[in-house]
Amino acid sequence: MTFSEFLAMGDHGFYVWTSYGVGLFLFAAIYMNVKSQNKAMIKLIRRRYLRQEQQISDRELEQTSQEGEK
Amino acid sequence: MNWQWFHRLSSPKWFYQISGTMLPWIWVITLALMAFGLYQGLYNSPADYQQGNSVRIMYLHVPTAMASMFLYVYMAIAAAVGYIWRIKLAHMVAISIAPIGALMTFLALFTGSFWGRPTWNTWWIWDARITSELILLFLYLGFMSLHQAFDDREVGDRAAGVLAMVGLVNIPIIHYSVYWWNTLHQGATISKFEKPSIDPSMLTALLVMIVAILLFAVGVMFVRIRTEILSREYGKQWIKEEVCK
Repeated sequence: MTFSEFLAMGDHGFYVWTSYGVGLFLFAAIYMNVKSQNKAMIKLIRRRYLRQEQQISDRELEQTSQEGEK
Repeated sequence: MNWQWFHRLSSPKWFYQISGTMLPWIWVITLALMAFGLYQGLYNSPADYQQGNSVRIMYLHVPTAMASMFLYVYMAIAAAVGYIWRIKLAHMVAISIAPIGALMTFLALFTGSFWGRPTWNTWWIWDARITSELILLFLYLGFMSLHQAFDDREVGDRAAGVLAMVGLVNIPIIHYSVYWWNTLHQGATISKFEKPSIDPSMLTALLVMIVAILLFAVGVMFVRIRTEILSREYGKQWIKEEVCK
């Protein structure tokens, strides 16, 4: 079987390759979609945690400086 | 009896950690199986004596159609468990299955259409199997939009869960449609009770593709559940440790 015969699939090449093309494209698309959603979520909550810690340490700093003034 | 192992199954923390170690393996095995299945299906198996090469669409059509039904059943069971026992993780599972289930349903319809054109000389017909599969697609889409329609996520979980459970009635209709009604859609190729009426190399391709596509669906579902856990369990100490390490 030559390569062009393989591509032609009898005379069903259009139907076979469109099915597989669309199928594999959608699989790749949903894979990348869920992966990027996951990464974005991790980034989002990491930033929130870091901001929380920043606020806590800011408050502590404020308290110690106020105590110093007394 | 010790039920601790059972309770652990419903713990988001346990699931997050176990799925994290499983995922790389799931992707590697999926990729290997899919590569072999495609080679076997597109190249290393014969054309059908009646349908010619269009039969190769089967190796994508049958696995996506099976996955669309399996995933729906699993989604409805998860929704029921979440509804009855109020287990948070079960609702997260249900909502994470819906998009990949909808994609599989769409692909089953799409590849079916591209198989029907050269075989039956039509892109679409309102046959019992095809119509009930289309209803399945609407059930998935309805489940997702109903879940998003509520501001309170837990109310959305429960409302969409009821829809998933009611829609379960459609699954046996899809399965038995080719026996109950005299339709254009052909009967099952592999049956539990009879020797398969199919060439061994075609059967290999079909079975490998079924496993590959189901495993792919599980992988996508796992990643989505993990995202859902992060968003819902935010504030727990273990999440902080997991994310900031």
